[in-house]
Amino acid sequence: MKAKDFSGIRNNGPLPNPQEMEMPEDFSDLLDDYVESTNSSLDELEQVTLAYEAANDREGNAVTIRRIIHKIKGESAMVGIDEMSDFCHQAEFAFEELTEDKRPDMLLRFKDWTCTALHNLAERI
Amino acid sequence: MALNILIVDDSRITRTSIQHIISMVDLEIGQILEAENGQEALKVLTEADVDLVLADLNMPKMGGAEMIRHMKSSEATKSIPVVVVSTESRTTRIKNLLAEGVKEYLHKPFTPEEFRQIIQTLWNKQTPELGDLLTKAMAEALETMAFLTVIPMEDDLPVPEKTIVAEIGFSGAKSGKIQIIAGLDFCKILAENIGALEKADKQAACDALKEFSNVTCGLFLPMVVSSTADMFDITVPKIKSCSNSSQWEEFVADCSSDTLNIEGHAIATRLILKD
Repeated sequence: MKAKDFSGIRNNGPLPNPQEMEMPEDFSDLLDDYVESTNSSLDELEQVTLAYEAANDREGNAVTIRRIIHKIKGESAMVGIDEMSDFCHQAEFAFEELTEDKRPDMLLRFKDWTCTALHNLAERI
Repeated sequence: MALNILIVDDSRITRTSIQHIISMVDLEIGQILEAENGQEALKVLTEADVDLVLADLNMPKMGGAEMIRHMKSSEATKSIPVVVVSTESRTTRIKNLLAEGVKEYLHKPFTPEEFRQIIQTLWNKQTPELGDLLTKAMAEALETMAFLTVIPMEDDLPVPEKTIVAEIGFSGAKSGKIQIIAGLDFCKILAENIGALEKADKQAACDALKEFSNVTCGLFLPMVVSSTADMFDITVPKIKSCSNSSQWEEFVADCSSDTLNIEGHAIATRLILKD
């Protein structure tokens, strides 16, 4: 199967449908925990993004943002949701490529897409 | 030896997943300890005996790289092997960490087999000193007898640069067969040992090998064969009883790069197990 293209997060381009995210082949017992943990991370990401946008401690908040995306990426990989891991990977690239003023929009788009995907995933568990 | 393993990761899901993977590997595991970040890990290391640390890089409070630097600066923890487990894709960063003393790197997600190979690599690297190894080798040598057989060669085939020229079959505590891949220099040494030639040139080496091809020559090689699952280590200590013993050491000079290089006396490249 052709890998989905998540590079649209880097240039405000189109993204795959979040409601069609592939479930892991090995249905992990950890999926409930994964959804809960990722939702929690996304809440934190939203707060930190807003603080970043308001130009509060940009350097410190950038570190936190990188850590949150990296954590979601790692957890997604460990439970076998490769598409989410790929999406995070592209978001990491985007964060480094974009100028400071364009980062918040990208991050909020990342958060919205991921929330929708998770919601859909939770309904299928 | 049961391994006590410390998993350092800020994600509980990841720590649980790693535990699950470890449990799928056929290894003797003692305690599995956990820490959410580098600070916690350093505290655990002062309180418990840890044989191996599996550490993420990006963690709050103290990341993996800083934790590793602290570990390497302390006498108590500097020798504990650290394996970085991360989705980190920047190869430069990984290379730097390896240069700073990180033993291995596992990319998330990893399989039980990948973990097992890391463990095997780490503990093989911590091979005892040569003296200890030879003592062990001699102790076990009595249990393992090896015979060398030269592979049949075509009449018109000169000794090529690299080819399978011989096999060592061994039996005892372990049994199996090693194929020797070598070039002309090795063949000359082999011919001198088997044919009692003083100095074999290329033609003499070819003739000797052809003469002895497919014959069990009965060269006694004390060796230690240790195994874990499908991987084998072959240890061939110095052979004092061989008339041209010093020449055996030269074998290594002509081994191919994929040789199982044990103690610099390696002569095996591939091991075929007997059922």
